Amino acid sequence: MPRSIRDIALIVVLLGLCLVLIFSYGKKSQTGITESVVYRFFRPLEQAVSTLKTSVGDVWRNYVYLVGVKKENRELKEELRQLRREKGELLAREAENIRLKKLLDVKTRLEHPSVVAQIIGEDASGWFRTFFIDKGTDDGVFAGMPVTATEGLVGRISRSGANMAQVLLITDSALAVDCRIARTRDRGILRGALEGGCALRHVNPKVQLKEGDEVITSGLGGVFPSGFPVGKISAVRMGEQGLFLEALVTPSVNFSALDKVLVILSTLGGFDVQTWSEERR
Amino acid sequence: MVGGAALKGYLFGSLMVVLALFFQATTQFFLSNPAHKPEIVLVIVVWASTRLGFNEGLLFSFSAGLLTDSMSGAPTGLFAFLYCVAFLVCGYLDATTDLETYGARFLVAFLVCILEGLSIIGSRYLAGPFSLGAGVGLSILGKGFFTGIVAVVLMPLLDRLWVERPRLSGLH
Repeated sequence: MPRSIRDIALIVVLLGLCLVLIFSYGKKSQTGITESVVYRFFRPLEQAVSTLKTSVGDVWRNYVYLVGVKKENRELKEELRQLRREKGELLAREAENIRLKKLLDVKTRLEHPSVVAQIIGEDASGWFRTFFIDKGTDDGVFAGMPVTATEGLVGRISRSGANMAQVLLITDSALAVDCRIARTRDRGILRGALEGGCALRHVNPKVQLKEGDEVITSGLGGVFPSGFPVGKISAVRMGEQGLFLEALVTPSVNFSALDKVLVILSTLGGFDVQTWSEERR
Repeated sequence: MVGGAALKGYLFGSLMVVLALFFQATTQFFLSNPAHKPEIVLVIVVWASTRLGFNEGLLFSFSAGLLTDSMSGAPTGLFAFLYCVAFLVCGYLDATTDLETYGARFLVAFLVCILEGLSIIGSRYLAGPFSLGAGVGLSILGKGFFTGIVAVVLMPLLDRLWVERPRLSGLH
């Protein structure tokens, strides 16, 4: 076979294979052979670097950063007093909340089984907002499961290998989360904005959104549990078509400082979300 | 380049890509903002287009792309496709112009990174529209600039390792 024809054939075969892989990607949720092998190879290396990073961080926090700790201690004591007061108020509100929920007979699950995972790596290309955790299918972590932190929603598992999984962050434009504005209870769709943070779209234009309004998950869609803090509105503008409002949202979670996350072990449809109309049926 | 030499070239490139991916996924966040993270693997693909033969270079670009797909949020095949195209474009440029100067290396890495960024952003926008503010353009430009800088530093280093590899591995 002439060399030029062989070269063209190689180009056509490889580019064709790439296109087949791209267009068949959406149909699978588990990792393929390539990802499994790559994850198995990279996991111990990433784990080692992550452990080293944690150790260095601990040394910094425990020894170097102790300068001015007395002042911080005073401030923390004051904060503790204030938090105790707030805790008392919250307990009273929670009791009232439980009573109201019983009255309304709304079936919501307050607790979900979960597993703590350590972040061991981040997106290698930088074009996507993802990171890797040290838990996988062996620990019950599968694609589609929600990932949270103490501050709020982090994202969703996008790929899961045997002992390593990839998390798609809420700041990535590929992830859409059905959310509510906590103050007004109005809904919108949250997507990552490439310019940073997230954008809450498709919000009713009659709603009076304010900067600082808290955005929480609605629970609709069955992927994320309801009521998880997502972020706060930092700017409001009219959407491109002028039909809906669009708000820029600053995530509650500081992703650059995150080292551990909580994976909620419930897959699509695992949350008990019943609308009023379904209840009436 | 045929047979064993081609295989050695392929393996050398693959080893560099594995090291680059490991660096990009673990320690690079100490050095740079994720939005402006230089594309080291792309620099290696550009380098491969000037040093490796056609067959092993194209196969190497495909493999490097698949590895990057696995270690990023990209759908499997996206980076494999983009790196193959980058290899072909840079191979053509290498055959028609001089890519051995610092300026040419910076410019090629910068432009290929910008094209890659536009392709990725474009494909993502088609998959689900999102706001395209000025920040997106600046982010792509910033990433392209840093990738260009890395190319100026890394490509001579790769050349050096490429020349010295028989001595380093103990095989003459």
